[in-house]
Amino acid sequence: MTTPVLEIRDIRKRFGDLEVLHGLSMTANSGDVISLIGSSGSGKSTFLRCINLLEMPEQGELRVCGEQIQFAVRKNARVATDQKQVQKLRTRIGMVFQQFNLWSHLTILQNVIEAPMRVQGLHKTEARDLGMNFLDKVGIVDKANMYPGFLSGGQQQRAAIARALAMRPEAILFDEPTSALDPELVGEVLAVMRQLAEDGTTMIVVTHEMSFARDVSSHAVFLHQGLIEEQGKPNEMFSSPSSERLQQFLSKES
Amino acid sequence: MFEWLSNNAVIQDIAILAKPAMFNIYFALASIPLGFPIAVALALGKNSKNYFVSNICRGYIYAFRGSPLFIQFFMFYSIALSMNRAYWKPWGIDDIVLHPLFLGPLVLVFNTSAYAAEIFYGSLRTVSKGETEAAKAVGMSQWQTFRSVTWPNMIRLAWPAYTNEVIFLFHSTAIVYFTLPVINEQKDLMNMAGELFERDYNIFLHFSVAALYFLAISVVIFFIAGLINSRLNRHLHNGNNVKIKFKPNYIR
Repeated sequence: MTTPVLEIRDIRKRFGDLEVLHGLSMTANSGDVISLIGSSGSGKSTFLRCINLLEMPEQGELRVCGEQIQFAVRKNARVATDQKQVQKLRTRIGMVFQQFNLWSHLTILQNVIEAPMRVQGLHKTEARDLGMNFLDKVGIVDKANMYPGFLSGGQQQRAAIARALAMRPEAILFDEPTSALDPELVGEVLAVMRQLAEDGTTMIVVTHEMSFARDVSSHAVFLHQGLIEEQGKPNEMFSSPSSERLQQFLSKES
Repeated sequence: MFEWLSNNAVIQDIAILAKPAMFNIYFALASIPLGFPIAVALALGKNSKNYFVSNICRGYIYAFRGSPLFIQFFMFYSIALSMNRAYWKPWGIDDIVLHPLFLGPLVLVFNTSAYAAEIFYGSLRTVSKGETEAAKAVGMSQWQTFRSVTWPNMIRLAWPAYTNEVIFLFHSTAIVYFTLPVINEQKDLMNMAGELFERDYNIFLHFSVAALYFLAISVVIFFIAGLINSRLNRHLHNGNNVKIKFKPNYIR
């Protein structure tokens, strides 16, 4: 068996006195598309942010492509022992944000090639080819030299996906990628994500798009109050939810 | 034919004050390029998580922002003078250290760096957290994040206020020689205008012409700062180069 892209064991996270994640585990193999669903406040986004350590979990283990992330405790706070290792983790695990978070002072193409150039040391011409390639993949090549402020939300999010792809990561985390979009723009972003899934990209997606979770993902995880309430094949889960909470959640969402 | 020109009191003043104006320009030019990086360093220091670094920067900014520039000139001059016998003279650098062309810019650098630091600190705090997070999320180090995202945004956000500080600093050069001695006829605009005033007591004429110099040089500063500002904000104009037009609003 090949090593999983991501192995997450018993992640716990607290904000002050409030523990929001009570020990979550998950394994993502290459090519998996995992949907994280759950009502707001269930800890989906926090869990996602713990995976690439934008939030530091107080407890738990993280293994990326078999490599164990090292932690230490300093001044009562958990920190990563090796910042270089964290940076490496983040180049391996891309992220797409709800609010796109494109760098507003750079053009779309510059947004895409900035990290390959600065972090991976790619030459400019090489990075440019790569960047145009990924912009083509998400269908906004014609916007390459425009600034993010002049694009629609859907185009911006697709640019953000291209930016994550340009690092050629092992997996991509999507944090509610369509929640900030106008309804008519959701489709174009989902289409791109669907395409990525078909290409075999490993994805972990926090989403409220139930149809996407059902049709595209290979695995669905339902979170409730910081715990995994139910998980399994999306088809079975959606058609015959076993827990009462998932039943309630699904009846509300659809 | 041009006799009326050379006899005109304003023209005469403009000619006489041309050289003194150079000293004001010198004071500004000598202090701004040095004050800028120090201000950026102080702003980053104040924002630092390190308790000591942050508080030292806070203290420095408070001291120089909280007291009048005029008094700072007096203090630095008297401190420099009192250390002359013990240090500058034995080291043979008293001519340099006590020279107004050195001490003047020095105090101005201290002062402007504190003011500008507060401007940069403010803009540093308003850089979009989402954008810096996105930089971290693609694996950029702290330095790369600063270089690629924080720095350009910080400068862009601070620029209009920083322009103001530069203008203010330039105008502050008017009080340098109220404290420091004039050496070798190195008079600035205020010295020379004062001297002309003592000849004929026409205070309005001479100081107005001195003010004209300040106004004229300020226009140049505004122009350059405006060019830089439109360059910094080019992402708001969708890649079209912003053309500089001279279109003054005479009537508002």
